Amino acid sequence: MMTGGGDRLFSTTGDRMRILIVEDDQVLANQLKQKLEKAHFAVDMVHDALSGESMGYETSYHAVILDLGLPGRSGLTVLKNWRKRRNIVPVIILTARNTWQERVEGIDAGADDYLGKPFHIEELLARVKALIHRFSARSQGVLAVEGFILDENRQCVQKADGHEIPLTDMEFRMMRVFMLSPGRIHSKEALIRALYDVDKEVDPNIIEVYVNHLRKKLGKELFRTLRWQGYLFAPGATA
Amino acid sequence: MIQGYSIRHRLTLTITLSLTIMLLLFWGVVSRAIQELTANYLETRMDLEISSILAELSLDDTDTIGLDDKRVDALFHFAFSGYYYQITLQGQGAPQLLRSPSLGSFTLTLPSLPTGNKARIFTKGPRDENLLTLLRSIPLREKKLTVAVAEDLTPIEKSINDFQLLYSMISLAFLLLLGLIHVIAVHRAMRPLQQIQHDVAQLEMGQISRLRDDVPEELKRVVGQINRLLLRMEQRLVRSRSIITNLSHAMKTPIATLTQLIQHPALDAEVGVRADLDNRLLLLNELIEQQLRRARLADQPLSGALFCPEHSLGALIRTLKNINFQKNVDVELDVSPGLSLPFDHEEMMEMLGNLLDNAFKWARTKISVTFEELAMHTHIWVEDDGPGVKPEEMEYLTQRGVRCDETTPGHGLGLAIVREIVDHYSGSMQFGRSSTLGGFRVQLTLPTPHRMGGRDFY
Repeated sequence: MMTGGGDRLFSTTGDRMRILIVEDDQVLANQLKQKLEKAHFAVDMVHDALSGESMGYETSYHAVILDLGLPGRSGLTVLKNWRKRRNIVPVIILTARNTWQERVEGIDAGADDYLGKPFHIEELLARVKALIHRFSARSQGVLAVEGFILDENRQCVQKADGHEIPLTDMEFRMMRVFMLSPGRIHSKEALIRALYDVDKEVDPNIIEVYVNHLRKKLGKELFRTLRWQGYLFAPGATA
Repeated sequence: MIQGYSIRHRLTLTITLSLTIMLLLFWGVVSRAIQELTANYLETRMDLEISSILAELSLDDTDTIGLDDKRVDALFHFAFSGYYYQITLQGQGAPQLLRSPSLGSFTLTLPSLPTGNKARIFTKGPRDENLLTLLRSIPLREKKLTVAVAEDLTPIEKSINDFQLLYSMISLAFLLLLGLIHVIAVHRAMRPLQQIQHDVAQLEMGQISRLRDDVPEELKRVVGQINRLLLRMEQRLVRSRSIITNLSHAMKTPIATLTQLIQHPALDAEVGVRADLDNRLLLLNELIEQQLRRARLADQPLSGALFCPEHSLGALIRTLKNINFQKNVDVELDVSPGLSLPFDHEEMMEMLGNLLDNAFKWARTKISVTFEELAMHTHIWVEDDGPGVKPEEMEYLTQRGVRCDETTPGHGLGLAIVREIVDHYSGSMQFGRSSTLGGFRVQLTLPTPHRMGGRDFY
């Protein structure tokens, strides 16, 4: 692991970790805010979907706690809109809708974690911390995962031994998606959504082609194909 | 036989019967007409013969009749040629008889005919053949002259018989051909019914949600009515489901709020009250969850999505791995490609989600999921390489809220939910130790609903 332990509460710039709560029950939101502030997070809260969505664009949060049953529009739509516009803020869904089908839909829409109501505040805190830790690479300025550093300006990947490997446009964008969410399995559909413009008809097999390009350049074992599930960037497994 | 009848059999029977009657009638009329025409033709000819005989007949002063043989047709000369004449003159005194040479010494038996009459009769010839005989009797010097011309019918009868045989054969061939055409036509006409039957079977399995309406005009209304009924049923179902779902979800957020609120410092002094409230809230939540599940299970939509293990499990495992990203667990999925099972997609997701969630909690590095579809049952195994469960603990596993390890978070409802769904499908659930991975193993056995038709689901 590149960064410090899970209890780290301040970002590299020294600010407090900022969390956005999008929850229409004001009492519950207030309770959460109090608990999170007690744990030294800086918390903003909104109670409807529209302001929640725009808040998500304006400020860069370290994590968002998102309710699904919001007035105005579904939290799932808010999440999809964020992801469509490349807003990669870590999101934990907190909802009463907790069947497994709904969980699959939430995670596939781009959520990073999912917690059903009612819940224990300790569990939520633990998950928020784990989430921030998991995606700490995002807030470093430089995207670095397990010795791999993605250089945005020069469009290349630096390996642990200092070797630099240039990437094409598509390869770079795909690598960025993989490195932004280390440990996440990306389905072909999710990768297409992340790489291409909205509503563009793309043959899903093209994803396999790009993954193979990355395998050739960076190492075959780094990118695992999980049957029926998707692709996993797993640099840790090679060590 | 009594219960209902086959439209196809009815149609086939009616058509075959009417065709047979029609062709028999034709056959009778045509046969009769041929005989009549032939007889009429012969009669005309024979009448001419009589006239020519009469023209050559001479009568001398002694009232003796004579005929110049050479002036009549040569056929009357050959013995038993089949062409005969016989002339009688009756009056006072002995009757005179004049016969064609072809008759030899045979005399035709003829009835007595009143003067001035004409008759057509059938008689027997010298060789016992059937003869058509035309008689004409005219008055001659106060006597009665009767001229009879006879012709052997055998050759004509033979050709008529030949014709009738041929005609029967052609009729029979037509009958068979038309019958075949009709059977095919009926079969084709019935095809839309088969399509509808097939569609209904698919509907039962949830593969389609509407009957196709590219059917003939006559069936369109029925199909339309069924489709409208389906739509109404589905709407009603969706409405009642969404009422329950919305109510449940609306109630859960206040419960979550209350759960947080009872942690308020004001209650710090009242630890007992807090514990009681906490218990009641948990119970309330559990009741809501339970009723929500019951409502989902009770009325499955007719067109429920089929469960396709590889696709759905892929998504489920991806989700679980993404949630449990810090755990490095391999899930091995053993499913025959393209398998789809007639179980409700959401229920199966719920069931397998809970089982896999459990497995993810306990597994160290490996989980395996195996599907085996047999003729009557579908077996599902979920195994892990975790610590497993002691045999004496197994019986408590599906009781509500029982957790074997209080250190892993959860409400202990997972297996109870699985049990509910398994019971709904009249299946069974068994716990044991995985022989391959060494940890906990759950075996589900679900009876497979019949795939096509025949079974009344509702």
